[in-house]
Amino acid sequence: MSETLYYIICIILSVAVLSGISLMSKVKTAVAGNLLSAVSVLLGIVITLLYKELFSGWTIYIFMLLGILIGSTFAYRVKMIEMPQLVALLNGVGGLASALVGVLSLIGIGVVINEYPIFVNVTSVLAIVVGLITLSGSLVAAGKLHKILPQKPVVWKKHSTIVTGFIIILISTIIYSAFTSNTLIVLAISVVFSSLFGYAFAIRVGGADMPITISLLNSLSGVAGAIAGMAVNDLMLVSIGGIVGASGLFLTQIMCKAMNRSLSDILLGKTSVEKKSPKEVVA
Amino acid sequence: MNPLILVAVFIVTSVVGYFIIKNVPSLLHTPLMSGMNALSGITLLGAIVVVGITLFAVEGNHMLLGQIFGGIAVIAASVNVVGGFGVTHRMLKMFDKKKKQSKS
Repeated sequence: MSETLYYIICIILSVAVLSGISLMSKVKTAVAGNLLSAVSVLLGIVITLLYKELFSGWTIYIFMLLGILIGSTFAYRVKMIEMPQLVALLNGVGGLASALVGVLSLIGIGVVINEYPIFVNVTSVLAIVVGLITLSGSLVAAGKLHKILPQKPVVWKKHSTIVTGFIIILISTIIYSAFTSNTLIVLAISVVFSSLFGYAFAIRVGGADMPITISLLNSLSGVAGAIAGMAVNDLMLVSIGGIVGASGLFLTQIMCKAMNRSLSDILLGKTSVEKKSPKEVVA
Repeated sequence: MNPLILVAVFIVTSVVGYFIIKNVPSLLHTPLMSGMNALSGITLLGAIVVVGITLFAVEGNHMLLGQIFGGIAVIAASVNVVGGFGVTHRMLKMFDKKKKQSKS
């Protein structure tokens, strides 16, 4: 497949995803929008396999088949009332995938060596950080909705200071990764602190506000995908990830408005609706 | 590909993506979120590329590592995609039924 053709298909698929999202935001066309998005993801996979000449990579199909089996079992066996926590769980799993792609490209496995090592390092670390924040945040969200974790917002002493500390550590790790070749230390720090940050960030949100947090994390996992795409040099992944990240953020704001809450209040654990159960708010 | 192009593409798609939805009825908030969650499993593309490249071009320990971690990534991402679209479809169908019942 020629490069020009690949770029054109990337544009077409991005437009398809965009129209899928916009169709999904109207009641009448929502089902069609969902199908359109699903088909464009499928086409994206086929095109990527063709373009990178990986069509004969048999292990890919085994892994994908496993994932499809697990995913469809989840999707069709879970009770309707457990949907929100399932969405949170699925979202976390997607974050994990981005983080793993970041890990592999950071230690230089499975990446075509290119002439911009600093860019690859920085984007890999970013993908790990954002992906793992998504994973641990989503797991906490799913746990809260499933009533494994306490529903009320858990606010530690000096919670904001701790969270800010994590952010500073993570940012300095990302900057450090541009100048060092000692990737293992960078890997260890980014894995530990991004997981902790995701936990600290989500545990402070009340159970009733979880849908908004999930929406925010969902936007983050789109961003994680886009950044992982930068690390492995995959144009289609960057563009679709960017679309999902941004529209997810906008959806988060819409949801905040609909619930008449401000995003920062929710993230700081100032809950006003803690007496309601999360299901009532979601349904 | 030049990193600058990738970053530029990311910025452009983000701006476009931010303005694609306007007024979403609150009924559709959860399905839309779930559909976007399925879309964010698009990171599957990156995972299959990593697995494919390690299978063909890398040997020894690194290939094994690539297959294990890349394989987990492929499984995780396809769970996200398939589960996400499946769940969204189920939710949307539920709305259909509700509407028909209320009309009849």
